[in-house]
Amino acid sequence: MLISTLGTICVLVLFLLSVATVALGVVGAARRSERLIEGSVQGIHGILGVAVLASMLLEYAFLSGDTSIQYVHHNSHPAMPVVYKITAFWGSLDGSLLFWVLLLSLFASLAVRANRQRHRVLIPHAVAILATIIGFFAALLVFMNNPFEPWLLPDMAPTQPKGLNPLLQNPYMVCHPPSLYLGMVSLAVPYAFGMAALITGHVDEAWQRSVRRWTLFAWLFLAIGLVLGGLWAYEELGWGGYWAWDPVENAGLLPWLTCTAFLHSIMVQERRGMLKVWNLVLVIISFFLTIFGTFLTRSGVVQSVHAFGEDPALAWTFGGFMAVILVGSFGLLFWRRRLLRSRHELESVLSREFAFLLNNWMFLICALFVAGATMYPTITQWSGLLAEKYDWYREVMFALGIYDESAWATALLEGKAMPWSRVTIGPAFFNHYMTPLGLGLLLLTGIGPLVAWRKTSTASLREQFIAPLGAGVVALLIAAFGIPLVRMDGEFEVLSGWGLTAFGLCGFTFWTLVQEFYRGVAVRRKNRPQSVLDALIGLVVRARRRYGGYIVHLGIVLMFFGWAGNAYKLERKLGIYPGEIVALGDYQIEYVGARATQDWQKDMITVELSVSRDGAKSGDLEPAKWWYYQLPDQPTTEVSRLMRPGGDVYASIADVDMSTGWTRLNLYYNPLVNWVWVGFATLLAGGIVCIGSKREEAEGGG
Amino acid sequence: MALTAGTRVGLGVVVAAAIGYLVLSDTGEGVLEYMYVDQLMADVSKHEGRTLKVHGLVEAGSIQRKRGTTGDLKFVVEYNGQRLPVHYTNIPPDTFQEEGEVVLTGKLVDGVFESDEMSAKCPSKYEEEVGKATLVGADPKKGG
Repeated sequence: MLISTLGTICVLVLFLLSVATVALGVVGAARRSERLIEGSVQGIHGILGVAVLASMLLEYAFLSGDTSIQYVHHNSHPAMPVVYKITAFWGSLDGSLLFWVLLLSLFASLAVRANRQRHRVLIPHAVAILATIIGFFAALLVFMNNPFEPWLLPDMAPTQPKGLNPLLQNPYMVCHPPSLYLGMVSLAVPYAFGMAALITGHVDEAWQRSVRRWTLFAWLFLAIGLVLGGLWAYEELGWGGYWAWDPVENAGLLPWLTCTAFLHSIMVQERRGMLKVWNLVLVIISFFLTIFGTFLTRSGVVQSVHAFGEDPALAWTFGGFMAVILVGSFGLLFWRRRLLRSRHELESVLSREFAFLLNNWMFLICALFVAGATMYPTITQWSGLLAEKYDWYREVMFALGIYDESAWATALLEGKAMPWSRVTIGPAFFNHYMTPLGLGLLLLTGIGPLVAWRKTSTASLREQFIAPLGAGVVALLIAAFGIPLVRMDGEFEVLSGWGLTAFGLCGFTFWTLVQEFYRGVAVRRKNRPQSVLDALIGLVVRARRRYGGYIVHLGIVLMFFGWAGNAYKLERKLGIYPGEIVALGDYQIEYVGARATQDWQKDMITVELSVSRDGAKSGDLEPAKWWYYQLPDQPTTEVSRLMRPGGDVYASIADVDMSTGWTRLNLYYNPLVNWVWVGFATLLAGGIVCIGSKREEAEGGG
Repeated sequence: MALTAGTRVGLGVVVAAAIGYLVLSDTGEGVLEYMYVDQLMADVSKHEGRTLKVHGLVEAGSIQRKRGTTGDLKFVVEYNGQRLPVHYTNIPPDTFQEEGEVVLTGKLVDGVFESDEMSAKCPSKYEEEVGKATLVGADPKKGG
């Protein structure tokens, strides 16, 4: 009871303090009062203090198992390992909002501290904007979703703990949501500084310098969150894939796409003084998408298996906040448009500016496409509900021929459900459009570093492109003729145009990177004799931003290499008896037998499979079903896979009949899938190299 | 921008051609109609044989699957008092359970929904019973 009261007070103080901080910042800036501005800065630090206190109280409630708090009761279990009790903090809606506030106040405090001297004019405005965002979330905590809410009457507090879902007890699930939160929340900082720049009219490059690292940080953590989510799905869910274009996945992908665009386009502004408006647009959109993503996942607007549940009040609140962000931000941008003229114009399509511009358009198109396709089902649903409720809307829809008037009349007469339906957009639709867009981006990844700023001469073009183009053609040929074509009882023959294109582009882009590193190393060795390794390290350390970027690109190429393998994916679902042998591509899989075992928390049925290739044994697979005693009706699927550089043999089981040993297996062969993870690790390393770079660095690499 | 008109037209044509190709080569495979059980049952003949997604609640006691037994999964999904028998032939998601919310992809064949794809509400929703009160047909006492 005590914790609940203290926590509620904290949340309330948090809200009031944010309001006060906004007021101090706004008034202080208007009156140019150092004292008030200093007060607002202290206010931000104070908010952090209270947010930390509130979070510690909630953690304490979880660790001490204080079930007098509803949120704790719903989200924890006495038998839970400590680490899951800690992460239960953000496991559900109310706590995740508090976690959001905690992170945002931490970032706000750090960003204000770091920029207090350098960008003094921006500070009061940035503080006011950050405090407004914190205030919004604090208001949600106070008025709608207080995680410290006790039971209405003390004797309503339940004594029985709730069931605990073993699916979420997984190391990936410990790291995946907080990574995404870190990424999303930190995008508020670039937004606040961008808006502060617009308000004050200091729209030179200063605001960007203060936010480049934040954006990079956000970008990295979004990527980590997305990939961990994919790994979790791949290793736990048993459907053989890692990405399904689920709305919640998309919500994390959207800001990542616009962030990537921004990280490229700021280089154009730094070097050429172009794209000033565009950069601000990207910052606004990226931040908007983080709120939009939260809205998607938290309000139940979009039907998703991951969503937190339907909550119309929350949906409207978020809708209002998003409208304010859009109108306010773009209004400011329009007001300041005269200050944002470009210093230079685009001179040639064979220039790096143009490559960056194309890259930005494509990222934005990707983001718009994904956002549109994610929202489309919801739009069709709203439309149907509106038509049921409002005559005028229905009439308009009849007139447009979107709904059939006679069908509606019949349904009404017969008292049946109205004949509208929602439309869902599945992975096939996303893949159809996103595959070529992604490959286009891969091509640009290769072209970017090869073309010069302003204008590329034909001679340099030839010199730059010949080797990479050759590598691309070789990769294409190897892919077309060298991949041992998949055989499966003559049933399968996989040849994919997009797959081949992807391999060709991987070869091309990979070689452009090799060429860049090779030339850099050669120059260094010519200037001062040293080993190749020394020269390579020296190169990266001296121009971290440029070569860090190239390492990221290398990671991207490797990930595309892994995705290209998807085009050759094999899938078999079948029921077999022990002793039978199944072919999966080049592999032969023998079903040895099934065994039933137990341990202290679950019953297990494990299927033993022996995998061989061309007569030589490759290894064993042991997919299983587990029945936790706490949740006997919800068996968990335990995936088993054989990891190889060439691909995974992946097995999961649907059903086992212990009396006869008959089992229904799902078998997948996922070529090259592990290169996705290798590529991601490379990307991570490159990102870390970039983040460590000094912002003054003159290098404007690709 | 100081690009020539020719360059711009060229770029426009390339982009338009690319978009045109993509749209024309779209098989529509990824786009499915989605409805609740009662909407499907309102006009069975219209939906018979077409691939679609159906949303409903797994009826209590209807799942014919016992541990260690052979056979495909059979159960009934219901919504707003309408019931639909389902024949499911794939690994059910780990969160599949009686009275749980599911979305099935498949075809209605002779009054049975033949499905091999299902998603069930994700376990991050411990709070299900709070939101469920708004969902018709859900038993508010039992959560995810």
